[in-house]
Amino acid sequence: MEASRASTSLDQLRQASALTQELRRPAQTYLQASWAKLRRDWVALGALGILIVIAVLSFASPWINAQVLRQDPNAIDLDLIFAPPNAVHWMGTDELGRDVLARVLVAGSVSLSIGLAVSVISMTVGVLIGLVSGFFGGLVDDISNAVIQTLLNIPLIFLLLILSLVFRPSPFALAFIIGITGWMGTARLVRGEVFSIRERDYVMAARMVGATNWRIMTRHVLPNIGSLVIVVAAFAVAGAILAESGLSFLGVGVQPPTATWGNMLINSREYVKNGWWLLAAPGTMIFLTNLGIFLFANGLRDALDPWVSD
Amino acid sequence: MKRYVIRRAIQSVFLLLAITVIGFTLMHIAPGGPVQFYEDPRVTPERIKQLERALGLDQPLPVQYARWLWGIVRGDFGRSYVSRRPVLDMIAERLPATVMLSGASLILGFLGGIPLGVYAAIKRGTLFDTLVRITTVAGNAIPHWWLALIMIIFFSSTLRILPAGGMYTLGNGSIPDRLWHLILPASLSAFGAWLTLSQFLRSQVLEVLRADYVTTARSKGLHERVVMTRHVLRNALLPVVTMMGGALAGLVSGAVLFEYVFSWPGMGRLAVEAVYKRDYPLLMALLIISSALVILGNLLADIAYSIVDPRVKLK
Repeated sequence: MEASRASTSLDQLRQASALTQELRRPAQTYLQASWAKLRRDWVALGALGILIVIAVLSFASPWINAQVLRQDPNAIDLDLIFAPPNAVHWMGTDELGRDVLARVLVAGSVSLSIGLAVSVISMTVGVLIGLVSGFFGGLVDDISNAVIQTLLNIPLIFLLLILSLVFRPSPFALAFIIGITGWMGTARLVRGEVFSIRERDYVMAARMVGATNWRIMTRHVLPNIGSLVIVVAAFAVAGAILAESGLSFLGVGVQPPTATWGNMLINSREYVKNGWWLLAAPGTMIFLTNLGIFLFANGLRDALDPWVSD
Repeated sequence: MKRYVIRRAIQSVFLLLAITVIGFTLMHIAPGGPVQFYEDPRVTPERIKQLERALGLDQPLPVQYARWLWGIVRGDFGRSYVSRRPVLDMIAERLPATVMLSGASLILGFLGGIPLGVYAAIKRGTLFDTLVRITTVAGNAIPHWWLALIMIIFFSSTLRILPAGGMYTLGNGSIPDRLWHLILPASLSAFGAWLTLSQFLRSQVLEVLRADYVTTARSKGLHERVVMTRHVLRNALLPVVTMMGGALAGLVSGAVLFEYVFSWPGMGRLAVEAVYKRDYPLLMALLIISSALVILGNLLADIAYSIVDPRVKLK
């Protein structure tokens, strides 16, 4: 009787200690906590997987085309135009007899680079303007608002069409054009966020200990909009890929023979008659890439938001 | 209200003025120009000088801008570099086609998008809701003009039930024939509105459903249908009015790609042709007119919003 009671209390003690062991966990930084959340989000991880596969296939395309497919993406073969998918040309050939798969892979590296470059450009401009106008307010804010309002009232496509004439679009020029016309939404978002952050107590505290505006902006405000910026940047890549494809399809974007997912569709009205595979290949790549970006960015947004728990 | 409208109207004029400055500047840094067609070796430099003088290109830039602007104020947008015709005439010819396509897709977009979103919100968590949400994400990942090409293959090349493009059959042009040609372009340019509107209304309805007045209405014992139509829908639909302005802007821009895909003889295709031929006066006129349309659309939407929502006071 005595012995059993003693063992019970000992068991209880063990259990309690196991419980505290369980409750005690190593301190997590913000990024560790976010990663822990992201790691359990299989949709976002799957999306990231797709994106990695597409990126590797695209950026390794010179090697893949030479070693695996043994196709030159620019080699013209007029005896073999509009060939359907077959053992040699896995995705068929186009109107000049070029291998579609080889071109789609090379095009990916161009389109993805444009997407990333646009995101970098529009984020840099948008965050900078949003940060400054939200932080200082007043005249700076009024001026930036006027600029944003003006640009937002111009139908984007007309602005892009005219800019494509001013800067003859190489991939880099096109990225510049799309980026420089696409930062307004970001600036507005960032401005709103900064507006509320600059009133927080920790900003006040920093100000009281004598921190300069520069220090407050870079150390206290910027890190707090970081998660917002990362997610918006991801969506910007998707938007840029769509914009590039549209402009190149119209023939005012990147010029052939440089292939992009958009300009592979330049002659697509011919393809409607001659072969669905010519339409399918670049379109599917755009679709998969953007779907991957959307789903990953969504997961990332939840993971980076400390208020969302799973 | 009156004062607000007047202030916004004045602001709009300045906005448009700013846009003309942007347009004029771009036109001047763009390579090529009215004399580009005289880069023929047979044309002497004296002749080019003479031409420039005749066109006023030897004047200082601000003078050129003032003249150009004065022309626009009088409704003279200049002449096309290519056809030598007044650009306004060329645009006026193409405007009805664009209005027809945009109008049709605006109506289709709102008629389709609103019920989809409302229904998805009411049936939250069901298969229907999930399907709408998946379609929204997937639909935003594809270029809609690409989807249009796929639809052409499907409905026109394979099933042969719809035309591949154009506004009417040559030599026909009756109303049923025009409508038949309108089906594909209008539904595809409405697709974007379906996605945006259904997503927006879904979240809007879900938000309103959480409001206290909905709880009150239900606890009063009102029939669920009355709660939905009188209390939920009315409030959820309000912000849609402001989206009309944005939708107009989207249609003006979207029209370019869809008109191109469907060989639709509207303003958008005119713009693409103007780019190919480096016809700057035409492009500038299109830029300014479409911007004016967008500004007007946004202004009207804001005024309409204050009318339908008594809580909004315009100052």
